[in-house]
Amino acid sequence: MASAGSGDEKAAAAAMITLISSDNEKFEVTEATATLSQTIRHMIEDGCTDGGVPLPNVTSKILARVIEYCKKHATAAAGEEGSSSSFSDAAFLEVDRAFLEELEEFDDAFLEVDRATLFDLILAANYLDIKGLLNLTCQKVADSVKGKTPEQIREMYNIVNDLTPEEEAEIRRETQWAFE
Amino acid sequence: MRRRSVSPRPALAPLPDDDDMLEEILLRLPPRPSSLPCASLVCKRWFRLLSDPRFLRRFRAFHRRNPPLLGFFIEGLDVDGIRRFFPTLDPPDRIPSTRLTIAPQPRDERWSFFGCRHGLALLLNRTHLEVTVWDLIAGDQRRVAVPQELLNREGADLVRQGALLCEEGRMPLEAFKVVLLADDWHPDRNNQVFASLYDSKTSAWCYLTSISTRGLPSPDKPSILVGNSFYWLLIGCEGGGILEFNLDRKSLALIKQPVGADVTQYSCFQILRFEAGGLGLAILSNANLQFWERKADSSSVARWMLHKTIDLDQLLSLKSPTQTSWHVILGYDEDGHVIFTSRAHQVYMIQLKTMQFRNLFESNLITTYHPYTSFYAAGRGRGIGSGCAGAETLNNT
Repeated sequence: MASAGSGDEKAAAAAMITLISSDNEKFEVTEATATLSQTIRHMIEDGCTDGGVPLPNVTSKILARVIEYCKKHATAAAGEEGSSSSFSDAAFLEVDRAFLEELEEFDDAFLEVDRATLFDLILAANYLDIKGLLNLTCQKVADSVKGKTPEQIREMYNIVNDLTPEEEAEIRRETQWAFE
Repeated sequence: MRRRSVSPRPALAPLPDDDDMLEEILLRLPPRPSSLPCASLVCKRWFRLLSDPRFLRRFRAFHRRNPPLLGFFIEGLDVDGIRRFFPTLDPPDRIPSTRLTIAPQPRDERWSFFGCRHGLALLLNRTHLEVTVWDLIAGDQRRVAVPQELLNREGADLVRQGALLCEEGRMPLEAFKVVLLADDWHPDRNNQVFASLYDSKTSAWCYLTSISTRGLPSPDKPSILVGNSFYWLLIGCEGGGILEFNLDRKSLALIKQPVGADVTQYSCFQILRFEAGGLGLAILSNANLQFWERKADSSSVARWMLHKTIDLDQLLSLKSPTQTSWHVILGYDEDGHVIFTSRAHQVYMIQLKTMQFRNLFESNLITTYHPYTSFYAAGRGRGIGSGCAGAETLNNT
């Protein structure tokens, strides 16, 4: 798949794709940025991107954030893509340590959003099939729950406890040590 | 089922109302034992998701590189073949000793314990000539008869050591392999060590292979899995050595100990799994702990190379050893790269990546510590290794 001539590769890298948000805003992005999304990659492969790619599940506010993420991560992805199957993690890490650190800082700053935005990003990452973004955002939510009691989790995410007292007692009885 | 729509405080953004999304989030909870039981108490939806065998399989696969060390079993502490469990985690992840203690039945029969891996324990009933593979968290067992090839003419078993593993991405008892080592020990000549492999997929023993060696697999040191090979320490031969069983090639091989290592009459040895997946060997002579790594040199020949040396007295801030106290290696957790040592009745647990250590407790028993790493599922006492039976019970309710 990646065996196309270098001329074609260059042309592909420079090719622009138009993404259209649910509120009809248009975003021009490079193909390299757009194809971090497996969903869009498949659309490009199927040749269904003429006239723009409508994304009815993603608002312009969220799409702008998603594109910001993809732009930053496209470089790293291009590095991985370009290498053969004998890609050496160790060598890559050595050479690009500084870049990876920068990427980590970017990710940390990227996650400084309100909760509603974070959840919208999760849904968008899932719909667009962007693995790195899905992992990043889901981990952020999982971390927020880590080490919390069931009561704290419910309060935090406004969840109603609908377990019957019998069910609750049964779960507690089996793993009593986890609640001491 | 749409409880969130009637939530009393709609001002807070609710979690995505999509089970797949919630599953992606819960999958990333830390793999500590209290994580899933605690989260399953949040509401019915969380409990249902967290008890689903499909989720449990994914959780196991997602965290397979860092299963938590729950504790260890001490060899020879109790009579009647009981191996008491010693938890090493702090509350709320501290699983009580009684929950995981191994008490094989019937008690009056002769049991040998070969250690644990991937949540499973491997025992041999020498009275009934049966191997027991035990998912300690789920409480489920599989029993397999020892193959004829490993019995002598009188029908007694010649088994000296064993090892097991669960295949990657599978539940512990769903797909496992067992290797048993037997030998025809004789004081005046080389021994023939035999290996036989059991695969739960075919429910059969196969690939009987053997190798001639002066030494014998140490009965006190459990196997270490590195890559797709089991390794055991050899005793009784000059210069020691390591026995390898490669699961791909189904063959045995011998590896000599490092040349030029600091070895005394009282040295302790421990096979290691290095971070990058390489074979390692720790040699402890007095307080001098050497780490050797098996690496390919420039002409692709595997050689031992000294990785580093640590002074245990210095690390543990101890005064110079007296004549009556010296350091010994008690055990090693290959998943977490954690070593258990002891000096002057004090037992230490040292994380070899960070060199951080903990004083565990006092014990004057110098024996084998078998580490136990596993995942713990939500609710009803079922471990992630519960297999389908327990999971089905959960689904039917």
